[in-house]
Amino acid sequence: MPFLSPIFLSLTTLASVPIIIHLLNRRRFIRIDWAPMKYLKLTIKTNRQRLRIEQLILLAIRTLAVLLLMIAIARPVLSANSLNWLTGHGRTSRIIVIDDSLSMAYQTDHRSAFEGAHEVLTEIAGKIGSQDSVTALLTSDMQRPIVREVHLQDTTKLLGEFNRLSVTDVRSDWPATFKAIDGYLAAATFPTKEVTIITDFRKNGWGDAVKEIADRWAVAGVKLRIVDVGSKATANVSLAGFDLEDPLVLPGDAAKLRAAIRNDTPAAITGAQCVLTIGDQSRSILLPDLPPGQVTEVPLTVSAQKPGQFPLSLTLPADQLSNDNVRWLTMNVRSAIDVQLVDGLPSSEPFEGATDFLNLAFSIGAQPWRIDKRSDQDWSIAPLQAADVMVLADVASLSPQRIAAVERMVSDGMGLMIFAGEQVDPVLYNQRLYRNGQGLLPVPLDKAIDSTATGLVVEQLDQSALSGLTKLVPAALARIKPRRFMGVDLPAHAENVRVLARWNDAPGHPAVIEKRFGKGRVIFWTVTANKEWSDWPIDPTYVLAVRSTATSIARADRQQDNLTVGQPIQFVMDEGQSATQATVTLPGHDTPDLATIDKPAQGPPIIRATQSSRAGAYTLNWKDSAGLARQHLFCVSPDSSESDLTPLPESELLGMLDHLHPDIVHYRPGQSVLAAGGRELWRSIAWTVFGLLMVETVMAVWVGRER
Amino acid sequence: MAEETKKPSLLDPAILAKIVPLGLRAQRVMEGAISGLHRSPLHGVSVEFADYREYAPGDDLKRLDWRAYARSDRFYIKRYEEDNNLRGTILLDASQSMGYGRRGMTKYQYAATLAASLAMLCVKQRDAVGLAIFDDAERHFLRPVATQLQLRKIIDVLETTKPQRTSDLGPVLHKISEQIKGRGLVVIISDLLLDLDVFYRHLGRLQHDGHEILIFHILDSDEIELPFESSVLFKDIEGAEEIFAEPWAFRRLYKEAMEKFITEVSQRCRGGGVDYLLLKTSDDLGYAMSHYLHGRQQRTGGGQRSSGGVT
Repeated sequence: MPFLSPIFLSLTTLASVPIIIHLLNRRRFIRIDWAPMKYLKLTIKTNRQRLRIEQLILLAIRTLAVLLLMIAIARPVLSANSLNWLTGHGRTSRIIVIDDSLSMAYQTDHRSAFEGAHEVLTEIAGKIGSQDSVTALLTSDMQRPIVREVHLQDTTKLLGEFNRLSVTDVRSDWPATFKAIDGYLAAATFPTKEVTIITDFRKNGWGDAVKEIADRWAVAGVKLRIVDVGSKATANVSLAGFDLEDPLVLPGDAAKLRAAIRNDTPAAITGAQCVLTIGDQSRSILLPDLPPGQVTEVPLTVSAQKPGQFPLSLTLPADQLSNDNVRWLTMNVRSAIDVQLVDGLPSSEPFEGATDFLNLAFSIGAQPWRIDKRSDQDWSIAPLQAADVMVLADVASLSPQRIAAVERMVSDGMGLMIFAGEQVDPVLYNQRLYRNGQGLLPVPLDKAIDSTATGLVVEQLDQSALSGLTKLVPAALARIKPRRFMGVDLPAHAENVRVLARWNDAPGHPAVIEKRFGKGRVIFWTVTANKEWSDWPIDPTYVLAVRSTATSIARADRQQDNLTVGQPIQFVMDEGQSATQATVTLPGHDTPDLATIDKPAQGPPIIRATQSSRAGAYTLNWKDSAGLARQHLFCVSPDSSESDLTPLPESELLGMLDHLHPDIVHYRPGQSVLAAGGRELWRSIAWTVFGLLMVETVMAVWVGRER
Repeated sequence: MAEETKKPSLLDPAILAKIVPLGLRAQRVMEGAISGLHRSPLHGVSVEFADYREYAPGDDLKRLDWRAYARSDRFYIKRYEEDNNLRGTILLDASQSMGYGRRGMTKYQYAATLAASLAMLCVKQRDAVGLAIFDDAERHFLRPVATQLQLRKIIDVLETTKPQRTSDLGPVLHKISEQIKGRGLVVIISDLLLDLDVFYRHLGRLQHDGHEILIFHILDSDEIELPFESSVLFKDIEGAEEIFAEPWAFRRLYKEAMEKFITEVSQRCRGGGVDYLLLKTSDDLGYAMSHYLHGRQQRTGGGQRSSGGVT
């Protein structure tokens, strides 16, 4: 019988203690010269034999109780099936799945669960018969097994391959893993199939989606064994988020970042420092107090003086699970923002057009704004150019085709500002741009209203496009007095619509309204962009308002540069461009690996890299059609859900696997996984010992009675 | 003065103080006997005819009544009421079993004290008292004499005797019965841890010879109660046998066996007209003797004697 703590088996020698005490007691006697020996012998003779048997039984009970107690401490395991686990059932197709997700790096007593997995795999591999076929897989890359359908004549190859591996940063996804295993089982050689999963038994990643596959395996007679190599500890500090608040960063701008730190330890953390790295430069940042069990958000700012891609990383102090203490971020510093102004009232006179003041507002200073100003007539017939922000100022007529094209562009991330004006026909706008809430216009228009408003009131909203105005003194906003504005019918409940600012009049008519449309945002100004309805365009706050709004809603980068571990790295090239010699430089690697270039029949070419199983900065390199070397940076961070180390309750797992009835082995360092494959008996033995002690007590009283 | 300095230690004043008053009352009866006011029930040569009994071989032919023979053609012995003092013989068991005693006195010491006290009482009553010390045979024998010197001899013998050897009262009784001339009082002091069948048989003979028998059964409380709590290696005090036992394991049975033994001895003795008194070495000897003599005084106050015998 195997034992989980065999070192305590040496204590079974204590079972001799009752015998020794018995023998010592026999040596502790008084000697008496006795006269009535006749009567003594007469009475002893009648019950001496019975007394001796009773005492021997009592001694046996005491010895057995001590022996069983010591055996219970050594934690025996009833492993009726463990012995034939790897040797029985004839020829078997064995699939061994090793969890190499991020949480497997969690260290207990300076040993990670992944190291435990290595020990388990070593033991299992040594026990598998050469007649069986073995497939070994990692959960991070189920499509590329370590070995597949091999007969382990020599385990060196398998273990050698495994030794080169280390834990990844991917998240667990057991339904996907089961699905992949299912594929291997379908292709397995032998009818007897057994699956062994070595994991840290964390709840994250499991779901009822495995049930359907498990039921199928149960019907097919697949044996499943799950070896738990994790610990019950859950204390962890992780970086749950590290994001840019500004969608677009210009050179010299102070880009706002936000870090979210989750403290899943029982105590508050004070005085900790993190390290913020920009490219090759690092700086330490003192963190605020991190209360236990909470997520603390930390605002940060960075700036870059020149355009380009910059890898940012934030690193927390190391703990038991250091892999989730660092996150990466690609910061794209744009050289300029493309603004397309569509003027509905073009004029050759200065500041008579609808967009002249806007043009001025974007052009003054050294800010890198690229302005493309067109009349609505020119714009309506010319091919639609991609821009970061499009402004429609007092545009009277919009064709449905043009509106559809604009919708696509906004949906794809472009920012759109719509200014009211005398040429704006509320009926037409509502029909084509509002479309019962499905169009670009945030709210249906009513009619132009003569205003009595005495200023502008900016709403305090999160990530408001007008957040720049909230820093101004109220007197500055009180100067903004529209003579007229476009009335709107604000729906009671409109999804993705919010009022950013209101006129300071009795009804509080909306002044600026925002609508999220796909990836982009639409801002509707109820006043004109020129001085026709107000003198705001000549007020300094106007420049701040339109620039702040344009920066906020400008299109972010088309490419998905910031990824979560496991997401594919791919770069979609512009239409008409081609690429050759694509490679990818992985985090911590100097030599690039080859990347693939997909050229679909329709659409632009796509450069793809291997799956991103580790967090860090990835760089795609290629040569464009002109033969120039190009590169693009991707930053990959861990999935924050993997930082949730809540253990998976065994009952919950059994509920998911239902009819499969898996063997669950809780492996602990230093023990044999085969030994741990059965049911622990210490509770049963403890009850037996308790029963024996009860019997011993009763029998001791009974045997020791006077007779 | 010399006698006072050599006063034996077996004569405990506390005991004597308790039995002497009773002894004085008894003495009055005996004094009457001496003065002829009270006749002794013993039959022998005297001036006053008592009755006849059939001749038995060994009888003195001088006591044969020829006249009765002539009348009845049978041989009869004439019996006369004899004026004689009490002739007491104390038989003291000095076998090794009498040496037991964990606390206080051993059984022998207790028995010797009892014997000395009885001897003192007899001498005080001017009765002749003798002593026989025995184990598996008779070791000392002092013929009954009613003198102070006899008391000194008795006490010397008691003090110099050490319990040893096994006990076998049968042959001793047989021998004693031959040594005691005439009828008298035979006091047996023993733990009676011996062959009781043989003892009863010889006791019957003593009774048959007309002796009044008084048995003091001396036991230690340990021997009755078996009070030991720890394991005990019991060694036969008169032999080599050893038994290792846990007393608690058979205490009740042992006590029952001892109780049965004592009850049986008591019933056999009393049923046969033998005075029986159980004395435990833990008992206050003076109080026990006083109680016994008082009872005996009441029983013998009418001069009645049992005519039965031990069977």
